[in-house]
Amino acid sequence: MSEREFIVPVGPQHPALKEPANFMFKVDGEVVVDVEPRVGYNHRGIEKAMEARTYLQNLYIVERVCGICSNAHQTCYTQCVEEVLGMEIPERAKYLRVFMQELERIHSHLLWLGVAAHEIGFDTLFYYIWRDREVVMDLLESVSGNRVNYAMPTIGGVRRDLEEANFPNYHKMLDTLKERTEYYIGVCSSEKTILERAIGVGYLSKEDAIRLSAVGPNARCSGVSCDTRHDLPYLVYDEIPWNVIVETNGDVLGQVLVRVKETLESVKICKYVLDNLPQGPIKEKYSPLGKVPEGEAVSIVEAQRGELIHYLQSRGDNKPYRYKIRAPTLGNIPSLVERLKGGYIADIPIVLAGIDPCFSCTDRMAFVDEGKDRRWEMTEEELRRYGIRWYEK
Amino acid sequence: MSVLEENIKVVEGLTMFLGKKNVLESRVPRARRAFVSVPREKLIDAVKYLRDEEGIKHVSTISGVDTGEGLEVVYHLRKPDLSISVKVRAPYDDPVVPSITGVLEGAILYEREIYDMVGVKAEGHPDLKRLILDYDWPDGVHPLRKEWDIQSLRKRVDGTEWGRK
Repeated sequence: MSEREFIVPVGPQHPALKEPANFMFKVDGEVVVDVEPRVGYNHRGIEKAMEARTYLQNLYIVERVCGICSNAHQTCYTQCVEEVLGMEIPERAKYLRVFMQELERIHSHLLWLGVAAHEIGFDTLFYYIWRDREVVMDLLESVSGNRVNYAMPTIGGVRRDLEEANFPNYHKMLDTLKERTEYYIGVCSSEKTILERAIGVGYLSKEDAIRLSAVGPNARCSGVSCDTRHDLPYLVYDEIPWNVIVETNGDVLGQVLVRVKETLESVKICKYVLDNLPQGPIKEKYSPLGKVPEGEAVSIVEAQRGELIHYLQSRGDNKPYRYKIRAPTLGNIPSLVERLKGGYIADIPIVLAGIDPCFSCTDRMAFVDEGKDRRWEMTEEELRRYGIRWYEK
Repeated sequence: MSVLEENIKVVEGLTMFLGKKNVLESRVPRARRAFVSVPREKLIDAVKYLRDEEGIKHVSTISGVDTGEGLEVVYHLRKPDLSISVKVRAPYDDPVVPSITGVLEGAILYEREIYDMVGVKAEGHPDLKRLILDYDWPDGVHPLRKEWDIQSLRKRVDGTEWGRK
């Protein structure tokens, strides 16, 4: 290690976010030379816990794997169990699952966009976006009764139906979201405050994205066309007209554009579902202690953050023999490391936030000068301000 | 040609390449899903073949399973229209599989995860260490092995009984 190189540990504690993580940054002056990620601070032993519970109990455990992608996890889990059961769910239930999934994507992408605006010091945009996000939160609450953890999919279908009387209202809310998202596309692709902090920052090439198995918007912003909804169509995504959004920038701007444009696609899908919702039952019968035959299944869905994969091995019991969950953030960490290398300290917050991790911010960080044995600490807020001041110069 | 037929061709191609006796089990339960079981000595050959001949370059994840007779490692690999799960087995007294990071770099964290949780060493991994568990977690306790249940883990790790302080 040369005289000029420092080790900068970032994380792991942040009281405000769901999943803490730690990154050891080796920096040379302002430039990040190497990064070593550490995860697992929020390991709760869910896979082991699932082996001791029945399939119906597990439905509610998987929902709590993540607060933001709760519906994606439940959709993936129910699909996995239904595949081993050999159960075909009613057409209306499939449409309702798609509806919930896309609403959740809208709320997650808008949340992320607000966080990204905050990280680069554009708080006005952050307040505007989060105000508009309330529209989709209200819609979710009206459909399911909850703002997060909707508990909609269940083994065999969905738990609640939509009321036709509310459809005009839903359409109106979706129109508002569409109009506001279009406005944000304009802001994000022309506003100087964003462009200066986003263009060329945290670059990842297409080759690296494929080599490091990046998933979701993180890969799509680097020009990789990989959307599970299109590649491995599940539910009714192959019947609904929508487009895969791919950008070729590879930087933070690409990530912003992929997510706002996807939000627009999700609004389109939701409106299509409302117009084309088939009539019929919403649920197949599944007994709460029902046994699942021996077998195995891989279930893959596109969560907001990327490809989400669940793997089930059943031995004919009413509890899974082995259940494996891989959430998209873990898949994106090797490519995040690649994005951070060669960047500036001032860009760490936005690049970390860029992959939309379940842990983006870092509350405490210590700068350690190994040669001189000096140590000082910064909170995430100070690091964010440092980044903003650094760019003001 | 339908997607299902193409997927069956991928599995048939792999069987031809490795030889019938080296493919212990293969199924294509439906379009876009396939399961193949190979001996662990043939794992690298199989993954290389899938990467070079079929364009399967994405590692979705790696699952480790304690089957009761031994340990099973399942490599979930992807190309856009196929998710193929390649399984290998390792006995309890020799829990080692070859590392596929030399062929598919995306496996780098997942091999650390199975080393941590199931105790299967990936031989040839550039930096094999714990990924998830705490640094003061006792060595040799791999929580996803069936020998551990929640009560015995708690007793071993914090010395407390379930539900009591």
